[in-house]
Amino acid sequence: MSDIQDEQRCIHNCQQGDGKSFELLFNKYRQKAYRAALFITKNPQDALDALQNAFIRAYRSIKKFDNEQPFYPWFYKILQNCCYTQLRRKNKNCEIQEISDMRLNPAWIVQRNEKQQHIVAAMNDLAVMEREILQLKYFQELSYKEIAASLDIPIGTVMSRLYSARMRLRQLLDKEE
Amino acid sequence: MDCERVKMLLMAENDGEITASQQRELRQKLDNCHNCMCLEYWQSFTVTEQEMHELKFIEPQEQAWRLYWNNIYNQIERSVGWILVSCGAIILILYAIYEIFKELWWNTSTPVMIKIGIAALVAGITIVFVSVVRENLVLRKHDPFERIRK
Repeated sequence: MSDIQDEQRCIHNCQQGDGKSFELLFNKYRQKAYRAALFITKNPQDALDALQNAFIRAYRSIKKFDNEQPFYPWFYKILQNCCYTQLRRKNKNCEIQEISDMRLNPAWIVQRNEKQQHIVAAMNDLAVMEREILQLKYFQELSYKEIAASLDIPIGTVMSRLYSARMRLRQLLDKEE
Repeated sequence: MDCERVKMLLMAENDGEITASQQRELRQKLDNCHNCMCLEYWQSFTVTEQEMHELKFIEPQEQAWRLYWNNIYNQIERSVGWILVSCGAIILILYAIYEIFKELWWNTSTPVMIKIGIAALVAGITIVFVSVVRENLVLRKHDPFERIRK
């Protein structure tokens, strides 16, 4: 049975009220979801808190989920909202841009070689939108279709946005070298 | 020759996301271009791409994830119970408040000070409630985090 069919069966079981089946979804998506939450909240503890709320909320709303659609983009939107709620709770008086600016913190990354350090620095010099699409592509390993669904944009826009983000990253890296 | 388009299509091909018609378009463009540097340019980018794929994030250990899941599962399992407990408690508390209020407010032997206290309490709770509701409505309307799409 394919991965997608397994996932659909799992979601179907959850929709029937089987909480244990949700564990498979949790195990499948926890890491990429954690990375996404980390990008938004910029703090491991806040990321874990937001992630927990997102999984609980997703389970409670799973009956409304259309099982023909990919699960992760739907979950990503819930996760984003939970992260923003978490930030809102903590940073009532902070500048929006300061909070929403998803920068890569080198402290989150292990085994960094020089090239990777350059990449992290260059990523942080990108525009927020460029950084977001690159993190969805590389750190969450989403397909174009999933990125399009997560960001509510057409696949053509994903393609062009990804292209310009990569080109810009390349320019920044060339400049550093 | 539209190099930008070629690079974009090369990226899509490398990502395994190219459609059949885009594939034809790409081949046609590459066949017609003899001094095209696009391919070379893109190949040099794949090294960077490889490094990006190899970036590893510090993440919770397996044991921590297991505890984390147990916590989520417990909350999911208990949620129905909590909803029932909350509903029951709200009904009982409202009824108790109503009874106390009725008993004290309408009773002619209740001292005026107690009645003033009750009135102040009700007015205070109402003001706080309205203020919280209004704050939430305003926040929702002008939510700085809503659809942060930069």
